[in-house]
Amino acid sequence: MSSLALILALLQPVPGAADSVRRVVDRLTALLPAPSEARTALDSLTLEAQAARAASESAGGTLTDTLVNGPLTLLTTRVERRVFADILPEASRAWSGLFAGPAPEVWLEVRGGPWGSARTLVGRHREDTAFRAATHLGVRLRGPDPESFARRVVGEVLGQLLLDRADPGLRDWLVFGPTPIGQPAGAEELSYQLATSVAPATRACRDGDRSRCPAAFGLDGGTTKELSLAARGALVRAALDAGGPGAWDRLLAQPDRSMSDRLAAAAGRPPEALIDRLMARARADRSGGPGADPLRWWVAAGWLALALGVVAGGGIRR
Amino acid sequence: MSDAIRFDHVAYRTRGFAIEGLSLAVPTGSIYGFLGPNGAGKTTSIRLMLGLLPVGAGAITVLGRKVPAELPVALAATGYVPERPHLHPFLTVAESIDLHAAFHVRFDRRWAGELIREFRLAPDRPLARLSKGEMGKLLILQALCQQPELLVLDEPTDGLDPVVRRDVLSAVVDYVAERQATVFISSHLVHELERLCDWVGVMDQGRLVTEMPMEHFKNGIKRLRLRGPTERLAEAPFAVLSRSAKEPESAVWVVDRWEARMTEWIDARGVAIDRVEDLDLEEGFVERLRARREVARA
Amino acid sequence: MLSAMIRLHWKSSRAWVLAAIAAVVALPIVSVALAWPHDSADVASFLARLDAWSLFYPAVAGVLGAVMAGLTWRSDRRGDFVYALTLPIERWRYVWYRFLSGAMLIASVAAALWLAALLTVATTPRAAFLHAYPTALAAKFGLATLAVFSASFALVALPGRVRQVGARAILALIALQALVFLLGWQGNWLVPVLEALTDRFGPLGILGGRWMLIDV
Repeated sequence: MSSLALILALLQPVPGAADSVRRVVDRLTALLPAPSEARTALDSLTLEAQAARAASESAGGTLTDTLVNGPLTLLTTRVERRVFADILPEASRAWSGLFAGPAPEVWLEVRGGPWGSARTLVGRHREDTAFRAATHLGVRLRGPDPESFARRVVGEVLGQLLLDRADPGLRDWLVFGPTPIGQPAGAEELSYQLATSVAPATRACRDGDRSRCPAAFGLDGGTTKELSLAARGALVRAALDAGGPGAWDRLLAQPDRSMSDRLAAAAGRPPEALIDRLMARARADRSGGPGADPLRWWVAAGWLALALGVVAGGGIRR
Repeated sequence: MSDAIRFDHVAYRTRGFAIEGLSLAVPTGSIYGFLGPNGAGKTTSIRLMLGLLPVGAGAITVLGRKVPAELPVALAATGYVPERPHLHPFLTVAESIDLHAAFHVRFDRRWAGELIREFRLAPDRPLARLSKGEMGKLLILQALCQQPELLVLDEPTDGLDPVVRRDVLSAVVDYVAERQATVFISSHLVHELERLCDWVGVMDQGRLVTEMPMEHFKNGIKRLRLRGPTERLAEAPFAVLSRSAKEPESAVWVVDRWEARMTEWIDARGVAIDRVEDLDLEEGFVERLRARREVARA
Repeated sequence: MLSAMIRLHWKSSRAWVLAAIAAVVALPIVSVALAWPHDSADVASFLARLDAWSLFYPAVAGVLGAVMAGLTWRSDRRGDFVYALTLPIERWRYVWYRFLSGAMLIASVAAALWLAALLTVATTPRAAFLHAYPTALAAKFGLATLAVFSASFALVALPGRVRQVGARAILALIALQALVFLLGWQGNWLVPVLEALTDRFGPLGILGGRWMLIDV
């Protein structure tokens, strides 16, 4: 419940009060300025990726075909080179590790800048220079953490590439790809879902009945999948991580088998073991509560020292 | 004898007011009266001395310590009573004394207790509810109980009734007599300083007009009632502060640096002295100021 | 000297400190009690309500920090800083004592929050996958209050003329922004300024982020 809803709920006994508050809030909301440029700039990462996908589909191909013929270009504005400096090499390593043989060719180029809005197709994947970041230095993005957002977009694009090569059965089970870089996308969300879900299999799984956990993920062959797409993506990601090189090939190898068997083949162990590992990670995974984001603490300490230094150095004056 | 306070060609400038080339010396162990009309720069000079204002030029030393470089050391031995009360109003009398004692290592708490009784101050009363006289007594109490070598008092009795004024000044005098401390007291109440001080400095419009022992200040200035051709006294060995002639061949002069043997010098020039009159401190102060301002206008 | 400064600071601000202590002791107890759902399995609505209540922590931190800073220098300013400047200690030391005394009073409020949070957590049953953060909450509250206190402390200690000029400049900017908005012109500088103050690197960034006593 949002704080506004809470206030309105508390005002219910007072006739007309809730309506008055709602009208005032609507008027104030209308006065708020438009979303910031920073947020718009970050959203452009996703929009361009979607546009490229749509373009390739409208041309009758898939995203993979587009990449084989040329790169997917992520267009940004005002993004610093350093944002992608670690992400792209990590993605290259993760991508190569999914395949037993040579990985399919992928080229991701990130291009941006005040004069750059041209969409170009460039080169092909080379093993020695897997990915190249051609970002342009600019103003640092404000608002949400640009690194984690950029990581998510690159991961989603790569995950979508994986899923494009999958059979309909797997695509129906997953919908979103298993994002092969960084923290599994559903990991934080999994602990939240497990904590808050009222669905029967999930509640039982959370409360210790391990036999109900596969059903929560939809591995029991039923049509109900209590846990989200992101959580299922995390499970597939856990199977790929456990299976090592060639895990993705093994996952695709037998499209007629059940998801449970396919995950076991990919991971080299039963899916229950994967679920246990995910649950343990989710249990240990803490948001950190007020202690999350320690950078804010250090920054606060820095400002505190600066303020004190300014006053003490300047001294008090009449 | 060294100087407790020394100003060397001190200058200070602010919007609409300036102190130029101020040089004064307060001998150690003296009671120095700092006189001047309102707006002369007395309080500004005190604030410069205590580091409350930045010096534009020149140098100030207090008890041999440079201001502001060695200010904390100088202030440790200086008791200050400002023109306006500066204590925290929400504290009680006892709490204010405790706070003051915490910062002054030589603070005499026993004596503070005695003075509280002598001044009839209520220890539990908040400072915001003290009368002007009670606040004046508390400020003196705190300054004295620090056991300072130098007391700086800026208009300490201004606005106080005669009884309180007497209590405050007698506490100061008793302290000085016991401890040989130096007192720098600024006031526009000239008659009050006449009884107390042994040195006097006069400030006017940001400049030091004169500085001398009180004895010379009071006795060096005379009113002469003259009869005869006073134009023959043009090269006199004394300063003529003012001249008035109501009748021909008759004049009233106010002169400075007068000595008794000068009557012979005047007689020799054919001018008769009908009377030599003493001026009190206030009259002398006014005459010196008036003469200085006429010179400044000229 | 420090103990004398703490006594002085306490005398000038005790009403506010006691009010803040009452607020931070009540907050965890009341927020968890009021957020508790009718159906104990409905953890989602418990967390949502608790999130709404958690807004009061940075609010109290902000108000307490600003008020403590204002009270720190109020009586000094009334006396034109004459008493402070004629004490026989270096000026930077006096400022440091002033800051420390305020920080210690703020620490006492944070300690009260910590104890109340520990008590609340000890007496509240918790669903699986939920964790309690009483120490992190109290520490963040203390640091946030200190951050606001130090920023306000620095602003309040500025000379009067500088503060007046600064205040007028800010009011003029706000008035100009309002005018631009009413006339429908382009130009938005206030929101970037507010974002800069409260983002992760801003001086008030510590007021953002998570503030829940019980969280995932």
